[in-house]
Amino acid sequence: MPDFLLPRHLLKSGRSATHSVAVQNDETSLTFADFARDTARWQQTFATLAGQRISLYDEDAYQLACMLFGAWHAGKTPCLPADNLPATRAALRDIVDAFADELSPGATPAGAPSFSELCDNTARLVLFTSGSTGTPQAIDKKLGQLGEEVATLARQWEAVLQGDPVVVLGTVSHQHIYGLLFRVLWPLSAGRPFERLRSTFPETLLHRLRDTPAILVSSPAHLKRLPDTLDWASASTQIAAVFSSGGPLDKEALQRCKSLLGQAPHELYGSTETGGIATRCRQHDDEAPWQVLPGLELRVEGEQLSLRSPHLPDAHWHTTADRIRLEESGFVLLGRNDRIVKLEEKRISLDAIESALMACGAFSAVKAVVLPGAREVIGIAALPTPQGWSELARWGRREFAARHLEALKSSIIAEGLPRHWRYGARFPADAQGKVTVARLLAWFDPRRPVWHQASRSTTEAQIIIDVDAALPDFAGHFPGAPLLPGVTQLDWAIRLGRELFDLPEHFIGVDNLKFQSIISPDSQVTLSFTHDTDRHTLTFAYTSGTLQHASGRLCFGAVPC
Amino acid sequence: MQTLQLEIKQLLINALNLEDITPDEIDPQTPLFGEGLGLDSIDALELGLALQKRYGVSLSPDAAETRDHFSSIAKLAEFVSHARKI
Repeated sequence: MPDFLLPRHLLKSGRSATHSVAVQNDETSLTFADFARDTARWQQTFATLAGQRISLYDEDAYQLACMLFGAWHAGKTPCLPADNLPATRAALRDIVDAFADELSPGATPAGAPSFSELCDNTARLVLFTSGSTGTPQAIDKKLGQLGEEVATLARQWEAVLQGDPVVVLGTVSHQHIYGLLFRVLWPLSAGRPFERLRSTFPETLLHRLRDTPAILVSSPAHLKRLPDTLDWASASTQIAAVFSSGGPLDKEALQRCKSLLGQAPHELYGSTETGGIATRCRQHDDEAPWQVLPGLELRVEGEQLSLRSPHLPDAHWHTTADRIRLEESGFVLLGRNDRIVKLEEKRISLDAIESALMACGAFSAVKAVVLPGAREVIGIAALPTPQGWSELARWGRREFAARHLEALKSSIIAEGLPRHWRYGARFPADAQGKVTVARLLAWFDPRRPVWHQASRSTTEAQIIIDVDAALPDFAGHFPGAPLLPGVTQLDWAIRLGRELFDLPEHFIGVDNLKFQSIISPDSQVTLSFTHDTDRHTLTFAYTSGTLQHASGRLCFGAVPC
Repeated sequence: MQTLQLEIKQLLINALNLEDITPDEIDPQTPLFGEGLGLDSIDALELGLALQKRYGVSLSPDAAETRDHFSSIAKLAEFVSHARKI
C-alpha cells in the first residue's frame, strides 16, 4: 500500500490494504485501501482550490481523517473549528478560504493512489480554542508536533495495551486536540480501528462494549454520568483502557469509573496550545499526583507553570496560565489565573459572555460567575439600565432572559449559556470596594428576593418585590397560614437599602417600626425608600396599592452602637 | 397522557434546575435541545438519569432513536408510557 499516505513517523512499516481503519457498529469496516482512496478523492478536490486554508468539520471521524490527510497531500492547511455554530462559521470566513462541507470529494482514482511524502514543518493544522480575550484563538500545529504527540502516547501506553486487537470508542469530539489524537491519529498510527461516530449516550457505548474489546476515550462529563442502573459487568472486562481528559475528574467520578468500568482511567492533563503535559492513573491512590510525560521539562515560578516540550512548536520555555504545586513524586494542579473557566470540559470565556451581554444595551454592567453545584453552570449578575429595568418589568424575568440568551446563542456554546439571572442596582463590594466572586454569589442565595426597580435617584427609590412562596423565609412561618416574617421585611429593607444607596458601614437601629398588615406568599409588594443623606437614615415603606404593610426608619453610622 | 406530560415537565425543571419557568410554559411540542429550550448534551445525560430513576426506563443503544425520544415533552411522554417499569 502507498508508503507515504501517512507520514513516516506515524507509519513506521507498511500496512496491508485490507487492514481495518474505521468501523461503525457491526457494519463492514473500512480498510486501509478505502482510506487511501477517499483521501485521494479529497486531495483532488482540495488541489483545485486557489486558497490555502480549508475548514474541516464532520461528525464522522473517518470522513474527517480523509479530509485531513487529503488537505495535507493537496498542500493545504486544514483548520478544525471546535463547533459548527453560525457565529463560528462567520468568524472563520475571514481566515479560511473554503469549507470542506460546501465541497464534494473528487472522482475515485483508477488504480491505487500514490502520495508524496508530507513535510513535518510545512504541513500544518490550525485548531481553535477560546482565548482570554473571548475570541477564539487559532493555534497553529506543525505535522511534526502531532507526530511527536503520537510518539509520546505510544511510548507511554503501547506496553500497557499489549498489542491486543481493540476498537477505539469515544465519547469526545475529534474536532479538539484530545479527540483528534486519541480517536484518530494514534489509532491510525498504531493500526487500531476507530469507531466513526462518538457514543454520546451511555446505552450506545454499553451496547458496543458488549460486542468488542475496546479502548475508551472519554472525559469527566461522561464518566461521572455513567448510570449505575445499566449492567456494565459484562462490558467492563472488554475494556483494555479508559482515557479521560478535558478537565479534572472528581473523586466521585473516579469511584464511579472504578466500580462500573472496573478500572481507574488514565487521566491526561494538557491543552490545545501546549499539547499533552502530564498523566496519572488513580487505581490505588486517590491522591496520586500528576507525572510529567516522557520528554518534557517543567519549571515553576511562584505557582505558575512553564514547560519545554516536543509538543510545542519550538524548544523555548513556554509559560502557561495554569498554577501548580510541585511535590516529591509529581505535581498537583491548583487552577488557572485568567478568566477562562471549564464547564463540562468546555472552555468558556467569562469575558466573551459579559461583552456579548453588554452589546445588548440593556445593562450598565454585567458579571458572569460560575455557580457551584452538582453541575456547575454560569450565573449572571447584571445592573440593568433604566431602559433595561422597564423592559424587565414589561416582559417578565423569563422573557427578558430568553431574549438575551438568543443574543448569546450565536457565539456561546450551549454549556456556557447562563442558567440563572440576578439583577440589582449595584454589585456587592467588600470593605476594600472590590467586587469579589464570593460577594456576587450572595445574589444567588435563595433568600435574596427577586425584585425590579421602578425608579431611583440619590435620595429616593421604589422597587417591586416578588414575594415568592418558595422563599425559605416562609418555611414554618406559619404552618397552614404562611406570612412573610417581620424580621425578613426588616432584613430586606437593610440589604436592599444598602444596594441602592451609599450608607455608612454599620446599621445601628430602627425607629418608628410598624407592621400594619400581613404580606402573603406569591404577592407583589412595593418597597419605597427615602434617604436622608445628612442624618444617614433611610425611611422605608412596604405597600400594595393603597394598602400599607410595614414602615420604619433605619439608622446607619460609621461606628457600631 | 397529559398528566404524564405534566409530570415529566416538572421532572425536567427539577432535574435541570431551570429558572423562572413553570410546567405550563413548556409547550409539549417545543424542541428541548438546540433551538427551543436550548438544552445541551449534558442536560440530555442528566435527563436520561432522572427518567431512569423515576420510571425505571432503559434507553435504546441506538443513539438516533434516543435522540428522537428526547426531541420534545410529547415524544418523551409517549416513550415513558411504553417503556416505564415503575
